[in-house]
Amino acid sequence: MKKIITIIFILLLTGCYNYKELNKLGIVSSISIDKKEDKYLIGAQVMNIKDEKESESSKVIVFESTGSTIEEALRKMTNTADKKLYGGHLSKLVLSEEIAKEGIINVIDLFQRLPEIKDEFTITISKGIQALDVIKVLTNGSTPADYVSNAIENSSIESALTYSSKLDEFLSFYLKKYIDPVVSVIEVENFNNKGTTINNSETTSPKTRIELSNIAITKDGKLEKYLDNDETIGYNFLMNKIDQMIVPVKCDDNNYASISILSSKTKSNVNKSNNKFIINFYIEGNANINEYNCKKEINEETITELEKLTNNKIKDYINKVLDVKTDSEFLGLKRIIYLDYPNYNNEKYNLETKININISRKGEISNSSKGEKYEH
Amino acid sequence: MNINELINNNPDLKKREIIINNNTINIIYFESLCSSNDINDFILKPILNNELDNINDIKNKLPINNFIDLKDNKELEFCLYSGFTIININNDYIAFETKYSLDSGINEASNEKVIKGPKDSFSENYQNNLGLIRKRIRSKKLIIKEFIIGTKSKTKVSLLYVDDIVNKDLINKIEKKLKTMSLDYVANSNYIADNLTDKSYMFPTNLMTERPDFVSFCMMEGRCSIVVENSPQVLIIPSFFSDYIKNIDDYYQNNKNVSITRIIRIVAFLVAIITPGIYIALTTFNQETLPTSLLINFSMQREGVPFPSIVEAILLWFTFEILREADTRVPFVVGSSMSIVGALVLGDAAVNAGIISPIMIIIIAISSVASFLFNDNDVVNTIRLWKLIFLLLGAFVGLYGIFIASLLFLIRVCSIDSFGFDYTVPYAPFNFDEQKNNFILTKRYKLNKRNSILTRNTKRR
Repeated sequence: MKKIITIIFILLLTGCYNYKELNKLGIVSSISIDKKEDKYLIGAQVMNIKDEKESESSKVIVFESTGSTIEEALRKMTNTADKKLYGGHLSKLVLSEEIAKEGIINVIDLFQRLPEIKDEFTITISKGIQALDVIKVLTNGSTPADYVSNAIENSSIESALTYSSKLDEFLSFYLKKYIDPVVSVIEVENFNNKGTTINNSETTSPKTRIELSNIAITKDGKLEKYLDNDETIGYNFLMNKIDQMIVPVKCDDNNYASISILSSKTKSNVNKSNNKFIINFYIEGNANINEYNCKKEINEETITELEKLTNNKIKDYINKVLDVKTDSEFLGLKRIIYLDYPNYNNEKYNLETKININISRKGEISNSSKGEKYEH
Repeated sequence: MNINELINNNPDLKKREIIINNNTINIIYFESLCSSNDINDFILKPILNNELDNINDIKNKLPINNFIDLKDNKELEFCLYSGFTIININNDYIAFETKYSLDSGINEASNEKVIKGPKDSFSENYQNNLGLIRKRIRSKKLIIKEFIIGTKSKTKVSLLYVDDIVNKDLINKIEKKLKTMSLDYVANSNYIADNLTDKSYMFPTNLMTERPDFVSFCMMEGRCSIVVENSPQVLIIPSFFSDYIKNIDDYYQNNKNVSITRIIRIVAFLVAIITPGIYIALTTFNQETLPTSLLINFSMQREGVPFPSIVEAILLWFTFEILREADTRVPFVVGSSMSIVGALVLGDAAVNAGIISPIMIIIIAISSVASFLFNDNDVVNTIRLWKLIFLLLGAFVGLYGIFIASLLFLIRVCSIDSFGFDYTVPYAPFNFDEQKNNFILTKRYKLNKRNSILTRNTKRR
C-alpha cells in the first residue's frame, strides 16, 4: 500500500513538466527577419488549424512585431496570438537582403540555443523584397512553408538549380577553415496585397508566386553574391551534390538533345609538383538520352559524340563557377588542399577536371521519328 | 451406522426395505445422484427374481461393474454422496455404483477456437476428461495421480504427466503442494492454480484450457497438467511469457504461415500495450518527433475537444472496458445489438458531439482489438492493466515515462518465477534451440524436437 501511495505522489508531484496540449499550440512554420530602423522586424507564419470543411479561412496566419532581439519580438506576439508559439516544426527562416549583408550569423544564435527548435530548417534570403512579405504569400496546395521547402528539395534533386542549406550544414561550413556556406534564395513574382489573400490560391495561375532563384554565396557569414543558373549547376557538380539533372547539348546545327544525368560522383584529390598544388576533379556518371531532336541515327559513334558534348557542357558549367569573382571560399578548394597538406598557407594552385559521363540508355525508341521514313 | 440420522436431514435420500426369507435387505441411495433405472434393472430385479438373501450371493450375482466393500462410516458417507447405492444385510455394507450422469457431455470448445484441429473439449465430467487425455496418449508412461481436496467438497484432483519426459523436480514440487493443500471447497480449477503459487502474479503462470489436444501436446512437451472434478478447464503447468504468442492451432498448420502469424501476434502485443501511451506522450510532450503534416492532422482533430488528452483517453478506455464487460455478461441473443449500440452509436455520436477526437477512438480501438489476439482471458486483462500504466506514465512525463513504464514492465516480467523456471525463457536466459519455436516455427523442430527447457533427458521425439 505504501508503495502505491508513493508512486501516486511521484506522479502527481511531477506537475506535468513541459506538458503542452496539441490544440493550444501555434505551430510556427516559418520565421522572417527584417531590419526596421535599429530593431528587428520579426514575422512568424503560424499554421491556422481548422477543420477542412470550413476552409474559408486561410491556412496560415502571420504575426509580426519588433524588438531589439528576436526572442523579444517573438514574445511580444503573445499580445496578438491566442496560442503558444511552438517552434519545433520550423521549416524555413527567411532573411532580408539587408540582414544577410550585415551577417546571417548574427541572427541564428537563438535557433541554435533553444532546445525546442530542430536545426534542420532551411535558411533562405529574400531577394529584392521584404522578408515579411515572402511569408505572407499564400500558395496553392500545401502550406506555404511546406511549399517552399518541398520546392527547394525538388529543384535541388531534379535539376540541380538550387541547393537547400540547412542550419546544421550552414554552421558546420561556417565554422570550418577555408570553406564558406551557401544559402538558397527566394524571390516573389508580382508582390501585391492580393497575394496575401485567399483568392491568390484559388486560381490556376496565381498572380503572386514564390519563386526559387538559385543560391547566394557568403563570406564570413555575410551575403556576398548571388549565383546564376549555370554557376549553381557548376557549384553542385564540384560539391558532389548532383542527384539528377538535364544537360542540353547541341547535336547538330539547329537542334538539341537533352542528356539526363542519373547518377554522378565527383572525387577530388591534390598533387604537389614543383611546389605547386594541383587539384584534380574526377566526375563520373551515367546518363540517359531523354530527348533527341536530330536526324542523325543513334549508333555508337553518335553516342560517343554526345558523351563528348555532354562532358564539354559540364566543363563549361564548372568553368563558369570558377570564374566568379569573389573572395568567398564557397567552393572550398583551398580546404581540399588543406586537408591533405595541413601546412598550406594560401599558396597558388591549379585546377584540373576530368569528366567522364557514360550514356547507357536511349529510352524507348532508338532514332528520332524526325529521321528517315520507312520505305514501305 | 447411523443411516436414520442422514435420512432426517436429506429428503432425497431413499431407503427401501426388502424382506426375503426373513432376511431384511436395506437399499439406500440418493435419488438426486443415482439413476433409478439402473437400480431397478441391476439391483432390484436380480435380487427379487433370484431371491438372493445373503451378502455373498449379492456380491457375486449382481451385474454391476463397480462395487466396494464398506468398512467404516467415513467410507460409507463418501460412497453415498458420490452416487453409489448402499446395500445392507445385517451388519454388512456394500456399495454399487449407480451414478447418474449430470453433465452436458462432450461439446465443441467454445472459448478457444481453432480453424484446423480437433473440436472436442473438456466437460464437467471428471472421468470423461481423463478419458479424453488417455485417448490421445495410449502409453503406460502416462501417469495419473489422484488427490482428494476439499474438506467439504471432496473434489477429485488428478495430476497427469508423461513419466519419461517430465522434469521430476517439477512433479515433486507440485505433488507436495497438492498433498498439503487445505481447502474446504474447490469451485473450479482456478482454486488449485491459486493455491499452487505462493505469490500472486497478474501474468498467468499456468495455462487454463478446455482443449484436450492442447493438454496432451503440452504433456508431450514435458509439462504436467491438473484435472479438477467439475471443472471444464484443465491446468497446464508451467507456462512462460513466450506462450502468449503460441497457440495449439499453430502446430496444425504450415510452419511458414505460422511464423508470420506469430510475428503479427508479437506486433499486436506491443500495439496493445503501448499505442495509447505513445500517442499521449508524443502529442502532449514530444511534438517535435512527429512529422509536421501528421502533427497538423492530429491538431486538427483535437480542435474543439474540451478535455485534456489524458482525460479523453481514460474516458474512452473506460467506455470500451464497460462495453466489453457488458458484452461478456449479456445473453447471446442481445449481444449483437450491444455491439451496434457500443461501436456505432456511442463512437460516432461522441465524435459528433465534440467530446472525443476521432484519432483517439482509432488509438483505443486498435490497441483493444490487438489485445484480443490472445485467447487467455488473464493475458487480455494483464495487457489492459499495463496499457493503463503506460498511458498514465506517458501522460505525466512523456516519452521518458514510456521508457520508465517499459522498464517496470521488464522488471516485473523478469522477476516472475514459474514453478522453478524463468518466466522469460527462451529470451532470457537465451536458448538458441528454443528460438526455432518462438517467433518462427521450423518444420524440423515441430516434427523432431522437444522443448529443451522443460525436459532434460529426451530432447528428440
